[in-house]
Amino acid sequence: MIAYNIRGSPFATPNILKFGFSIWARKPPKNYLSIYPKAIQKIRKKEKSNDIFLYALVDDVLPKVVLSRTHEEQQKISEHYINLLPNLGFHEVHLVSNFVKKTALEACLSYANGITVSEFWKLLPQSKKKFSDNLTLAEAFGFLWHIHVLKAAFDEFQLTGLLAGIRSEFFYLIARKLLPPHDVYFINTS
Amino acid sequence: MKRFDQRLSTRISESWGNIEIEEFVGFLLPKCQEIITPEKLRQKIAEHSTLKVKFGIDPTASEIHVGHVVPIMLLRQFAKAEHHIDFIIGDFTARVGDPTERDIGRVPIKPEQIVKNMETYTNQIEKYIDLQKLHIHYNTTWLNPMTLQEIFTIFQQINLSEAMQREDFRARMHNGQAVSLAEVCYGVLMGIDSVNLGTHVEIGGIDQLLNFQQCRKIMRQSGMNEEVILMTPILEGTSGDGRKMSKSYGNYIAVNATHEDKFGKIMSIPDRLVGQYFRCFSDVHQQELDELDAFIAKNPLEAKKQLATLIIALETKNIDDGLRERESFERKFSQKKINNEDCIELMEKADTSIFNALLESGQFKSKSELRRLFEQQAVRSISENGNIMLSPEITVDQISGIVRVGKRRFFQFITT
Repeated sequence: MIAYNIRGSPFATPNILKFGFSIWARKPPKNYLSIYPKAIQKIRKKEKSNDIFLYALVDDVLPKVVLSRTHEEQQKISEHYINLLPNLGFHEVHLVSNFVKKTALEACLSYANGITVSEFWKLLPQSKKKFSDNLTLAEAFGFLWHIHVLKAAFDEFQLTGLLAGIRSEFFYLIARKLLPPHDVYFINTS
Repeated sequence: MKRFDQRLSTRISESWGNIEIEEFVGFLLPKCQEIITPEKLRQKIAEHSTLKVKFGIDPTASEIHVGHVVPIMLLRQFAKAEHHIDFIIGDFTARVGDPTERDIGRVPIKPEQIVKNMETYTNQIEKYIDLQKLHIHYNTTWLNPMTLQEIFTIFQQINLSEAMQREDFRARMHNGQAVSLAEVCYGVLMGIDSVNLGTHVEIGGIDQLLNFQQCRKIMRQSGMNEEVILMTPILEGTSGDGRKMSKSYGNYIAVNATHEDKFGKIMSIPDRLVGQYFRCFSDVHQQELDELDAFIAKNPLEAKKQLATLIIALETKNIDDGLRERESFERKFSQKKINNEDCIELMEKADTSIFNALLESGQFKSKSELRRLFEQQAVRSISENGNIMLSPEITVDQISGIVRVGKRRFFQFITT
C-alpha cells in the first residue's frame, strides 16, 4: 500500500503527526479514497502512535473556475466530500474555499520562480504530453495553485506531512522544495 | 561651421501641442530601431488626439546610465506633444523577474528594495523628463487583486509551447540552463498592464520585442486593438567594442556623473557612434539626418563636442552650461592649459611617496587600480619643463607642477 516515504527531518519528529491529502472536487468522491485512511492506520502502527491524523483538503475553488460552475453546482459536489470522507476514516475535511484567503496571483508566481519549465514538463501525465501543443499557461497555473493550496494548509492546520498517490509523485517531489519541511508518503492506489 | 548643438538645443524645451502628424513622426523615427507598425502608428495618432502611451520599468537597479535614458528620450517626445504618459513601475513584475537577455534566471527583488530603487530612479530621470507629465502607476494595483477566474481566463488563452518559443528561452534550455515558470508568465503580465490601461502605444528597448509581442497578443485576445510598439536601439557603450552600454562592462556614462565626466566620456566614444548618440539624445528630425551624418563624417571631433554640449544642455535646459563645459574641455585637452581649479589639492608631508599620496586621496578604487596606472605610464607631471613620467616611489617634494593621472584627473601637491 505504501510505496515509499520521505522524512521531513531526520532529527526531530513532532509528537502529533498531521497528514494532509489534497483532492480536486471535480466529480463526486469515490470509495477508493478509503485507501488513504488505511495508509494512516499503517503509519500509526509503524510509528507506534495514535497521534497521527489525516486531513482532507478538498479543492472546491479550481474546479469551479476551470469548469465554469456556479457556486451552487460546485457546492453540491463539495457536499458529497464533506459527507463521505469522514465515513471513510478521514479525521477532518476542509474545503479550500474556507482556508485559502490570500490573493492567488502573487503567491502562485512566487512559487513559479522556484520551478523550471523542465520540472513542470516532467510532472505532466503522458496523456497531456501527447497533446502538448494544446497546453496553455493555465495548466502551469493550476499546478502553482495546487502548491499554493498546500502551503496554505500547512499554515492553517500545522500539517507535518502529506499523503499522495504514487502517480502524483513528481508533483510532490517538486512541491517539496517550496513547502515547509514535511514527511511525504506515496500510496499505491492501483 | 554648422552648429547642431545650438539648433537642437532650442528644441529641448519646446512644446509640440499642435504638431502635425508627419512632422511628429519625423521626430520619432530617428529614435526608433523598429516600429510595429509605422502605418498603425500614423493611424493611431490620427484617431486619438491624446494617445495613451505606456512605458514600463522594473525597479531592479538604482543607479542608471545614459543607455537607460534612450527610451525615456522617446517618451519625452510624446510628453512634449501632450499625449497621456502612463509610466508603469513594475513592482509586481519585478518580483517575477524579466527574462529578457538573461543567461540565467533572475533572483526576484524584495519590496523594500523596489521602493528604494524607485526613489533613486526618479531622481535621476527627472533630468530628462518632466515627472509632472507622467501618470505613475504601480502594477500591483491591478495585478494583486485579480481573481482566480480572471487569471485563468487570460492564461487559458496563452499556448504554453508558443510562450516557450522565445529565442532566449530556447538558447538557455539548449545550454542546459533553467527557465522558470515565472519567466514564461512575464510577458503575459505586461499584457495585462496594457489591457488595464487601454494602451495605444508602448515604448521600450528593442530587447523587449518578445515581451511586447506577448502584450499585443493579450490585448487582441481581450478584444482590444493591439498597441503599437516603438522600440529604441540598445545604446552601444563608450569603448566602441560593440558591446551594449553596461555598468558591468565599464563602458557607461552614469546619469549621476558630473558634467565634466560626461563631457569627457562623450569625447571618448568612437566617431562611428556619434550619429547614433545624436539620434538618441536630441530631437533631430528625420529630414535632417543626411545633413547631420554628412557633418559628422566631415567634422567628427567638432560633432562630438557639439553632441557632448547638447547632452549637458539637455540636463540643465541651458546650452550655456554645455558650452562652458566645452570651453573647459578644450582648454585642458586641446590647449593643455590646466588651471588650479582643475586640480585636486593634496596636503602632504614632503617625504610622502606619490603613490601613497594619491592612494590616500580617495580618488582611486583600489591599490591595484593605481598601480596599473603607474605601470601604464599614465601618471605624469605637467610643467613648463614638459610632460614627465613619474615613478611611484618619487616623493611629493621632488615634483614640480601639476600631476596628471590618466586622461582627466589632475592633482597639485602642497608640502607641509
